[in-house]
Order: sequence, then C-alpha cells, then structure tokens
Amino acid sequence: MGSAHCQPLKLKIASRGDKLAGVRSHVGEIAEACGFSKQSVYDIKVAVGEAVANAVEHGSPKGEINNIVIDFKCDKTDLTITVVDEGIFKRTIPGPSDMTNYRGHGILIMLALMDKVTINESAHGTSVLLAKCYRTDN
Amino acid sequence: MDMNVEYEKKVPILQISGEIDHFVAPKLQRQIDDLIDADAVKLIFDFTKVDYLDSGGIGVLFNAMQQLLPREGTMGIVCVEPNLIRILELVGLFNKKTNVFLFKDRKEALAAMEKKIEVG
Repeated sequence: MGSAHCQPLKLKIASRGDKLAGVRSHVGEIAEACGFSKQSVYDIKVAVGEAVANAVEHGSPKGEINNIVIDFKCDKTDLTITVVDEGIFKRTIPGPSDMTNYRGHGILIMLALMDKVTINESAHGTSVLLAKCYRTDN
Repeated sequence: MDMNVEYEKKVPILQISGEIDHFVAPKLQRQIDDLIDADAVKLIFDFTKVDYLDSGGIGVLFNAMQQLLPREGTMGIVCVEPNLIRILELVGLFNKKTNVFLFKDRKEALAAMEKKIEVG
C-alpha cells in the first residue's frame, strides 16, 4: 500500500457543477490505487466532492470561466488532496449541534472524514488541503 | 440521479437512484417543494438505490425537515448502505427533534408513519 501506486497528479477543471461526478470517480480510483479500504475510499470521495462543490459554489466569482485545480500527492503516510479555486472563502465552521446551519454541513463532513483539513485563503483564491493517513484507515 | 414519486397509504415515497450531489440537489428540492405545497406532512425517501450523497443533498433534506416541523410532519429515510448512514448520522439528521427517522425498508417506514397518524 502507498506511494508506489500513486504518481503526483494534477487535475484542472472548469468551475461547473456537472464536473463533480467525474472528479469524484477520479478521486475514487486514485484512493483505491493507493490501497485504502472501501470505507476510506468513500470518505475521501465525499470530502473531496465537498471541497470541489464549495469551490464551484463560492470560489468562482466569474462563474464557469474560473478554474479549479485538484492536486494529488501520495507519500508513505498520507494521501493529500488539495483543491484550489479562484475565489474568497466565506464559510464558517458550524457547531455539530447547530441544526439550523445546515448549509455548513460540507465543512463538518470534511473535518469528520479526513485526518487533516487545512483551509488557506489568499487574494488569489482559496485552497483546501485534505489528508488521509494510511494508519487510520479502517 | 433519477427519481420518481409513488404513493403508498397516501404517503408520498420519493424513490431515488444514483448520486445526490450539489449539482442535482435543486431538482430534488423542487420535487419536495411540490409535495409540501400539495400539503404533504409525511415524506418517505427511499435511498435503497442511492450510492452517493453529499452536503448538497443533505441540505435539501434539512430544508424539507424545517418545512415539515411547523406542520408536525415527519420524514422517513429508507437506507441500508453503511457509508450513507454514517454521513446522515454524522450531520445529526436522525433524532426526535428533527422528527426524521431511519428505516431498513419501506414496509417498516410505512408502519411507523401510520402509527404516527393514529397518535397525532
């Protein structure tokens, strides 16, 4: 399991909702090739799907002209996926019991399913880094 | 995502198959809005053939729940896929406050919801 199967890879897509399913199946294939369990493959697909959906919805001030870059890195300990958009991150992290703030579920889901979630904002865009460790794989 | 609406014992059952994500969620939202506009207070979602659900779909479910609560309505989710159940539990969809419950099949969902008619 691990680095032997996974080459560094970059995916660039137009910021369109109809691209989500394709990205997810791609992510699933990579996570599978990295040797993650079925459950972890699903978790990684959902977490990356959330990040990309966020990027389409909130990180694309010019709409479909904007691009989203999804970067995959795989080393001995983790699979790390970075989703970079061209907008400004506006969401806040909701409390788990905050039922009315259902629009914030995407972040809650990313935090719960991945081992590491880092959100970086800059004037040029937002990047969301998602990492899953092999040792926590079940 | 494909979806159709069937009625059993006057309860609308949304049978959905495929993937429910941010992109297709508005289509599901419109269908639910139509049912609620037509005075539905009980909704059953049959997710037996759903293999992916993200926060776009979850947002639609919470939205439906919030529309039904003031009418003392209730929702049933029919699902057996552990990955989906895990996510739905994670976001806290199933509890007495939301009045949304998980069932393993339609029969179980209908029986529980029928009981609520007698009680309520």
